[in-house]
Amino acid sequence: MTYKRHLPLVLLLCAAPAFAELSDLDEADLDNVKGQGGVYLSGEMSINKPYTDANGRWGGPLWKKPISTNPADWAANERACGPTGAKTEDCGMRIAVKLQNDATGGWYVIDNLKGAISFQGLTLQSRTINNDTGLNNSFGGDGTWFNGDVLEIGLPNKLNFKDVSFTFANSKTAEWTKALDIQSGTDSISGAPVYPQMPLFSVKIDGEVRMRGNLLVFPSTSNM
Amino acid sequence: MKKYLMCGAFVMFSTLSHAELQSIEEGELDQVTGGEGLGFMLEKFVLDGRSATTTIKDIQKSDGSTLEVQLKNLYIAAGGSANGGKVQGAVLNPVNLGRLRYPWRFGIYDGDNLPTYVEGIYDWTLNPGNWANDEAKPANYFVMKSPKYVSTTPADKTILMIGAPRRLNPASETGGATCTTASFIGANYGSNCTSRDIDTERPDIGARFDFVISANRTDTLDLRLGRVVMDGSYLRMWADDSRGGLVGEAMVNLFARTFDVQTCADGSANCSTTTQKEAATMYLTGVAANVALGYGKSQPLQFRTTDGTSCTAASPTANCGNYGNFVLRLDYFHPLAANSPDSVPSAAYTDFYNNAPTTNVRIDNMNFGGSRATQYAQPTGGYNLGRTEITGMRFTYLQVKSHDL
Repeated sequence: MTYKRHLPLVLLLCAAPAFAELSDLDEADLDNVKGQGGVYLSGEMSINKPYTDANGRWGGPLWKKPISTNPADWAANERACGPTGAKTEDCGMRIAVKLQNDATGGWYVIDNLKGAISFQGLTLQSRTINNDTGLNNSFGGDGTWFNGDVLEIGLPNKLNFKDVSFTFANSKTAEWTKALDIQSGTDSISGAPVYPQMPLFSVKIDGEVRMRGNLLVFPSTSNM
Repeated sequence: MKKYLMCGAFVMFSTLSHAELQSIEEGELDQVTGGEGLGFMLEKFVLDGRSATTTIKDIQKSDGSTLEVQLKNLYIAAGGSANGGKVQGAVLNPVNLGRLRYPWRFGIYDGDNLPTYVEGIYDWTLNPGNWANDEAKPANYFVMKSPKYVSTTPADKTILMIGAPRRLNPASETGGATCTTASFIGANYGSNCTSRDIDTERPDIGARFDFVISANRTDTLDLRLGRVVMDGSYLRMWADDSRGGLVGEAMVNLFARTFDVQTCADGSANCSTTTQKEAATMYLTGVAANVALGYGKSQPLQFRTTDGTSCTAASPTANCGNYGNFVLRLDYFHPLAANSPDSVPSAAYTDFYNNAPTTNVRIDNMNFGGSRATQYAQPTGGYNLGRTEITGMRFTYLQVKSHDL
């Protein structure tokens, strides 16, 4: 065996660690890295808005819209919303939560949730914070101490609300039943008397909200 | 040659040792404190809702008609921005809410390791139950108690918490900031807030509420708070089968250097000139409020809706009883130990008395009318009502219940 024959093998093995280990990128190298900009989102969200085309009506609320504005005349699968005596609107989504574990308690309900929200300029990316200069200049010394990664959610500059509305109420049942609107009668399944749904308040949001800034999310520790 | 092969083998081995996962020793594990929840903060945040309107409807009045409340001019921005939002259309400066070091927190926590800061207040040194009316009161029975950190949640429960940046433990931590700057409150309100007392970490918050009473009458409350701090606030929730469902405890801390309430809408009748606006303004300077609801160990806050059992099949009418209303309740519990002389309080009562956070409201100065020379200055002119303070309130029983009108 000769000295020369094994030298390439040894050199190859010695070079192996350089391939395996992660090395820090310096600022100049980082500038050349493309495609690390995260995600930029714009969008619009409508809740329970029915879509109508030549073939009929699609999506929208669970219930068919009745012709009559009087709940007493509605079929079991019909429901409309609006003020008493003028229930002509499509109804929105319903979320019901029960906070007690007995059989008799009622439900907290967010009912008739509907409307459209559009936003522009929501960004999503990860960010390393390890100093207090440049972009990190507002942390007042915390950036150097933190020395870690965060999830950065860039808030949308514009948030448009179009007739976003909901009603907060107390209800006997989780599901909506006609008895909740006509304010008397019995539950169709259990036969128990049903009291009307008690609306506590309704909220409607309209207009444009402007926002700036980032929401930073990271693991918290017990001493934070 | 053998030497070179050995070198090669050694290098390979060392490569592997870089790549493989190593076990962590006990000492190293002790230093790992993560995984206890999420921290979050808003960096360089501005909320400008001055061109949006939120309408709250269906609040029923006793005559059956409904009240409409409109929320306008909502903004959150750095302290000092646009003179507290008074200047419409002015630029609002960015503010940090929460810090990387002391963020807002959300997570699941162990009930026996969730410290709560309890304010120092003037209080009895003993339980009132310890001495009967005719006994002589001990000397110094009414003293300033030191603030402290205690555990208020049941040890055997897992707690869901959303919390504002915490307040430092006065016994072991230094470096906090004064919660609000006021001549009297300052001393008592310590230096343990973690939001630093600078414009970019304490926001100005404003909102205007218009109450539409009738077609030709609208009442207005235009609120403007300067340098707001909510450190130490939290909402904690857990399940308690013995109490029938979800229970919790809440602390709302609100410190503000200024809190101005204008009772007319800018530009409306008798509310256009500076003099008219000032005459309709109440100025609070140096506000510190702690509202404590619930003491997890013995008196948690209960969230309920009343049931329909009072409606019988014989009278299933809309007005057959007291049903369908929300209930917030703090239960009464007996102050005396079982089978003991009247003067001996129960352990739970003593614990409640010594450790439950109290509700306190302190306003360093209240002034009707007049004006502030600068945003945070004490107002001059108008009627000065001086200092107001209510401290040490504990709820032995509370039930808040909605009623159908």
